[in-house]
Amino acid sequence: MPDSSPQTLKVFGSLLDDPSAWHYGYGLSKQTGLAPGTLYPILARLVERDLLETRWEPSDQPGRPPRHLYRLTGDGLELARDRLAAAKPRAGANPITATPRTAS
Amino acid sequence: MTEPWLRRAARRALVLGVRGRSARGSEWGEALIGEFEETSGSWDAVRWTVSGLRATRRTMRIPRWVRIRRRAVVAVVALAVIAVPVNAYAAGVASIPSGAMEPTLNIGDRVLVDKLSFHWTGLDHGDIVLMTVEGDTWIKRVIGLPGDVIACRGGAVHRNGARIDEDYLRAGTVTECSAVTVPPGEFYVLGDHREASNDSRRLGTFATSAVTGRVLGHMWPVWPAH
Repeated sequence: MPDSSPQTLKVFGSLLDDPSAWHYGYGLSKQTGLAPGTLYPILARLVERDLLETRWEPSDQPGRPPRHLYRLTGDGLELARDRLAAAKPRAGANPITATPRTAS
Repeated sequence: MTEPWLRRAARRALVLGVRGRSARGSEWGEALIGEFEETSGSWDAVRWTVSGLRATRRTMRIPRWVRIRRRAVVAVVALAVIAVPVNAYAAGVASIPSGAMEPTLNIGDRVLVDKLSFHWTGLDHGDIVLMTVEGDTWIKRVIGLPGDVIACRGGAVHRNGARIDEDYLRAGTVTECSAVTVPPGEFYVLGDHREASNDSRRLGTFATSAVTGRVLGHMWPVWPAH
């Protein structure tokens, strides 16, 4: 199932912590514990599939580069919640027979 | 307080990796550059750069013509690497057969011999060549090429009226020879061990077709004893 690797789920979790807010890349990296080499390709994939929207924020400090921000789209919110729910073992269910999920 | 050099170096490496020679890189590369400023300290910065560059490799789209050119270069280099040892006719290792080239080359020294490219590049003054003379393998130095006037005056060799600097000779070596003009398609050779070399002084010029190879360098011993 696409978009359900443990790393992607971490990103979803972090973004869903504040679904309507714009998130910074550095913050996501620290929250998810993913290095940029892992995080940014995930973000790029989500953007490509219109699950994540982006914007640039110029820095208020002169000479500093602008920052890139991310927010789940409507479709993205739906998919993220979907994938996270699918990953959680159902309450009361036998952990061994819980829906197996394949990392993609 | 100035910024630690390691942090500055990390930033420079990231910017270079993302932008190369352009003023701007890919969107994701620029995003990484923007976030770099959020890192705290040098090691966080280094980690961000190292991991960020990995991300840039993955998400960056290299222009098609650059990709093709790079692949062509890799293919050519790979072919060359495979072709050189496979083509035993191009180069080889030879053992020095005589003392005619002492002290430059001693009997038993192993040298790398170019058997092919000298046909295209031609021979040069000073080249050490392997020659086949009446079935024997000789090793001599090229002194005169077609058209050169070779003569000896005051114990030294002169080429076209000018004394040639033969710093490879043992100190005090005296060369005596009769003047000769090298005909087309032939060349004049001398062994560095002038006292013990049978060469163009006695036998005259040789056809360049006698050359079987040009010595490229020492293989064994690694440092020749002088």
